[in-house]
Amino acid sequence: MRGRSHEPIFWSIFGMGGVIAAMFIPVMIFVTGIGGAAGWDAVTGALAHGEDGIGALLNHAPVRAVLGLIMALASVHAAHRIRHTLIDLHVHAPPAVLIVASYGAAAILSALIAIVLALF
Amino acid sequence: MSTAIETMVKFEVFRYQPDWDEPTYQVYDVPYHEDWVVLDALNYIKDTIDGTLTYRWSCRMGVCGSCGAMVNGYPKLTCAAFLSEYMPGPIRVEPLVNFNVERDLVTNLEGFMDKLESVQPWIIRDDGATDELKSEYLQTPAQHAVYQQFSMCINCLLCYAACPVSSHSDEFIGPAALALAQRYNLDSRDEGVEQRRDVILKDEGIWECSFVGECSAVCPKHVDPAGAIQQAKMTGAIDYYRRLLMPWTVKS
Amino acid sequence: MDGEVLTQPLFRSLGWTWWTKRPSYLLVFLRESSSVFIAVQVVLVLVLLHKAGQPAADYQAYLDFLWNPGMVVFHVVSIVFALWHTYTWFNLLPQTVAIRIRGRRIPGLLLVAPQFGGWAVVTGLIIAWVWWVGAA
Ligand code: SF4
Ligand code: FES
Repeated sequence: MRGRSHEPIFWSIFGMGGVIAAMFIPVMIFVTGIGGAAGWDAVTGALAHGEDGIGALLNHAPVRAVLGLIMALASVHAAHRIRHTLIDLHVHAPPAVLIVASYGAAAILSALIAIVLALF
Repeated sequence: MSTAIETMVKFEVFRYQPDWDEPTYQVYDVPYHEDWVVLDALNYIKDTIDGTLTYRWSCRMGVCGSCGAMVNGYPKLTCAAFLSEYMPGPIRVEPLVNFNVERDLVTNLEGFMDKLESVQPWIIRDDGATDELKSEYLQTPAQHAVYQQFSMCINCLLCYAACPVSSHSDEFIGPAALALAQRYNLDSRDEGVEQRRDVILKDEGIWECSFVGECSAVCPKHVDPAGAIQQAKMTGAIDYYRRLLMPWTVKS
Repeated sequence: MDGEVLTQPLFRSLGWTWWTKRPSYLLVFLRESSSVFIAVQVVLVLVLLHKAGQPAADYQAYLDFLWNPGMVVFHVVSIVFALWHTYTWFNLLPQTVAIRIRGRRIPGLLLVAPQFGGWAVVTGLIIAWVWWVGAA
């Protein structure tokens, strides 16, 4: 076990997050950032404030759970990539610092996502 | 010898001797021949212009793996890099990056040899037989096909020169050695997975790899070391969770 | 030199600017950079979800910010990066997962094509659902 790495934990979540991000992030950006701005009425209506709009999208607990999972996994995925990219850019930081900073940020983000969706 | 005016190619060759403070580039004019490779030009330089130029080569046919160099910034077997690809020149030849330079185009391979040895790239048997197999171990064509691609490596080290991880970590075991580890782990006659595990599953083993994939792009033998490492990560992750969640299924 | 062997090995690294040195490196670097855009978009949506529980005026103010022209440019850039992530991720699967039938790897396309198919279905269903809610 000497020197055995715990990277498999990060790598496997990174992998799941990568699939999830590949599947869902483009459409998420389209719906929240582009469709409404482009004047697509259906998106504007779906994102309107209140029970008939965004409320209707998010009022089901399973929908919120799935959305939360997607966003949390995408965060860890991004954190892992950013960490390895910094290393490959020859950023000389102690490995533990990068690990705490990147996955720590993703964990805080995931917690906020869980709180906001639970209280919705 | 044709009487037509010869086309010349400018070569900018990296020069360095151990007692120099700084490397330099030396320029040589070499006659262009359509069927010449960069190695032919180096031999021409050494034979007719400058006998002090130092570089490695042996087979001239992409088999021995000793003639690797950066040709216009790209890791290449100089015996397989045709001048015609680089015309009109100039053609810049440098030692493979991510290695220590001993002199001119010659790099120090000791670090790599240690890494290669650390993955025990030979058939290991539970009964202790290693170099001397105690009996015949048969293998079907299908079993051979499983690792065949990873066994084609000629240790030319172009993949290390292409690897951004090797550029910052001299501990990283690196593409070729990890591909070879995978080659033996996948061999039906081998029983050494356990013995290689600790070396491969360290951070400096497969986990430092960020899958840039350029190693596979530059490999002259289509070994796909990046794929080998990814597959080892997959096995390694499954192994990790199995040890964590079902420790009783793991033989120590 | 008096029998003394002089060696001061010279280490030449590919360097931290490796991603500028070839188009193939740059494409990989852009693939890795997609993570920054994905992270920022997750944060933007998190704030959106938070604002959705606030009074209508606050929520509307955030939508106005999210949909102002400058931000839309950012969203378009983000979606291009996100799609590059999708494309590269799906295409890299055959290198990671080696499924063999009688020793031979199955063609990569058999692993790649279903992912793009699944992506199209998922994307279509979500847009249809949003459309259905919004048009109601
Ligand atoms: S894996 Fe390919 S590039 Fe690397 S040393 Fe072997 S033959 Fe050369
Ligand atoms: S001289 Fe042997 S591979 Fe080039």
